Amino acid sequence: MSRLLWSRLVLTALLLCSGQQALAHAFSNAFLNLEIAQTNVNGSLRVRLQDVAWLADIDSNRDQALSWSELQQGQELLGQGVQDQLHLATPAEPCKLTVGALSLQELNTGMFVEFPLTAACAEIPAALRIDYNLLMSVDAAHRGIVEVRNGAIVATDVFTPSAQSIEFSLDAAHSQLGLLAFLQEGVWHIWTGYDHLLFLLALLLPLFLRREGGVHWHLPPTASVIRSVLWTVTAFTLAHSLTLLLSSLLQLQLASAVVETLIAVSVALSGLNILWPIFSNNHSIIAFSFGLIHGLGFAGALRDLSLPASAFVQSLLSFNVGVEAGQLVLVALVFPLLLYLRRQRYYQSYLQPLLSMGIIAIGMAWAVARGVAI
Amino acid sequence: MWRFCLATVVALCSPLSLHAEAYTPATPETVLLALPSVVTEYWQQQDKQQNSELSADERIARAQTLLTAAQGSNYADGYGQAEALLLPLATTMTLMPAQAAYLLAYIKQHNHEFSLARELLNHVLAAQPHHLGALMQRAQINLVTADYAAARGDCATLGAIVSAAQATSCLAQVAAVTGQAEQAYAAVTQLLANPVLRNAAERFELQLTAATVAEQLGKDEAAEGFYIAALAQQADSGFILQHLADLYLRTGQPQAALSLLRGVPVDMRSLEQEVMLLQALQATANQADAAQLQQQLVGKFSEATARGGNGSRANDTPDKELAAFALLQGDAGRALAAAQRNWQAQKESGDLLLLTKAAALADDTGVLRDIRQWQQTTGLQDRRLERLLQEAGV
Repeated sequence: MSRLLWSRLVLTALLLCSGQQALAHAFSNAFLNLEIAQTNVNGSLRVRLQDVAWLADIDSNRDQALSWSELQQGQELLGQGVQDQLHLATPAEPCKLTVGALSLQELNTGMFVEFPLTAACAEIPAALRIDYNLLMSVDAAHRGIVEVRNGAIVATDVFTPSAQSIEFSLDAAHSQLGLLAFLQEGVWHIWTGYDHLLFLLALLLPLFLRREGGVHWHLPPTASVIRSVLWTVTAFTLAHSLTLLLSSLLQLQLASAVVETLIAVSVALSGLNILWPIFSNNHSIIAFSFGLIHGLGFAGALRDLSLPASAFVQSLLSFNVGVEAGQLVLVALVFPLLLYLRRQRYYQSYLQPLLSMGIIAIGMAWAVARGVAI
Repeated sequence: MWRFCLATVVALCSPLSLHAEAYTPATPETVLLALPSVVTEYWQQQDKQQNSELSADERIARAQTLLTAAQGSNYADGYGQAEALLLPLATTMTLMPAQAAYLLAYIKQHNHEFSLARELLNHVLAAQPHHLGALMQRAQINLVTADYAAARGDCATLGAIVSAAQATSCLAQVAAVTGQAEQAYAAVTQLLANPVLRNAAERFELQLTAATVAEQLGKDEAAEGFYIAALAQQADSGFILQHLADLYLRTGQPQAALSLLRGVPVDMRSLEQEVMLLQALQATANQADAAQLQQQLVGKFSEATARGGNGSRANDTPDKELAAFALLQGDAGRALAAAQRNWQAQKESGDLLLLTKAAALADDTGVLRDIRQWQQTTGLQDRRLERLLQEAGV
């Protein structure tokens, strides 16, 4: 509301009706960011500088000014204040919260005091209950904005005076959002994994138009193309699913630099196969063989996402389904295009050879760059 | 532009990923913050007794002190802190002391929780039918929520207990948005021209009413004169500064708006004033300052959006300010959505103009036709609105 009527007229109403726009929306917010790391919950609490003085009596000289030394000296009191009003618990029992040394952080919205937090829990939390009572009793407008991460699962919420206790389900098995997140990660990984895409393209190109005897172009019948595409894509899928699952379930790991280099080599060789059919017509076997290596690459990406232990298999399958879905979308897009292009003279004469040379060059460049890291 | 769009998208999609930079003060003696006296008093009282043990009278007295600080010293946290003190008294409305209900109504009104505020004021007025402050507040809420008949009723009741000038100002504001703007303007300006009217507070109030009605009628020069006269009486009035700056921006005087808004101390600026300042900076080619302010505003709106979860109160998302900001950046979709949410909450002329601009930018003829319908139904006279609607072809 922009204005109160007749505000200066009556002394008794002066307090409430000054005619001034109050400093609207100067928020009292705190940010609680937590991340599950096995049985620990790590993170930080950022409290607005103006609010810190309400957590503990830290203006030691009572001069109504908060100095940096007073803030540092009050560290223990403030840490105790945080511990008294912030509680984390798994379904089994409370976690033991430790508050680290404070620091100052300048955000766009002002200065904040950051407290590093570590909570030791008795088990890997499948759910985390947070009781947040900070500042609520002194400021009804205070909000605690919380984000809890468990691998790819991210839960956010807001603590208010009427919602001071929130339980976060961190178990992907109980969280559609969690499974969906892994599925999206799978799709995203294939769409942004250019080496996988390029390999897939290199596999597909000779199925539509292949060289025979190194000179003549052969256009297989469309029905045959469809069959070949299905076999090849299925073989690739089966192979990388196999190594992805085995690698993840059995915790088998090859050095990622080795895997990545082999993937790059597979790209270069498949590109070469378009111009000079080195694999003969055994495309599905080649797809399967190299697919095993690509699966190890997917497993590496999945490890980075830290699958929740409590819903490991479901999350793993979601990720794999995402990879397959992303792959199928690409095949569906490329299929009609290649069916059309393969009959065009410019494609036969220039475009496909250029494409294959490009794939070879990129594959080799990746192989060299990644090989250096081994 | 594209950088802003990217920053906005990133910031609004990841409300918790606020930009943060570590800061270490130069010396241990560096003063980080001047603490309001209420903090010191709080800890002194804590030594004696807990908040929960305060009596109702003590809670009311403390809340009143905090609200005075909130108003007088722009201590914005005072609203939430006063509310925390009063809420334990509000568990049962019928048992709530009238003064506590009155103060809480004020906080709810400040938070744009108009229904709750009205309910609390009804409780006060049931006990004390001639409670001046409660009547004034309720009239204001009725005006803002477009319950014009009720606002007129409250003005009539007030007429029996306040001066003729005050009653005229009250009724003029209602008349100005219900098809009698010319008459309202004539009544107010006649009173202002009367040498008998010497009471400074009464003159101030009439000047503000005259200024806002003059703007509606397209009398921009007269409006500017009234605002400046009022500003001479109350130099720190955010309301006047904002309206005058808006007038300057609208009439192609961004430099004047810039000077005005830069005069407000940084920590005293409202979000709405900051959005206006950004507009003025952009219009006067102060690109570096504009980019810096823009980044700060993205952070502030991001934080505000993050607060809006879990059934938080209506004021948690500053829709009016957000709409103005999005409008400034040419983000038609976000501007219209925010302006529509704001219009659901409050229906003053400024809110309608904002909605119209957003709908025009979004080329939403449905919304524009609804606005035209609203204007015809209420009889609202507003040249600014008329021009916008004509430009939009409605």
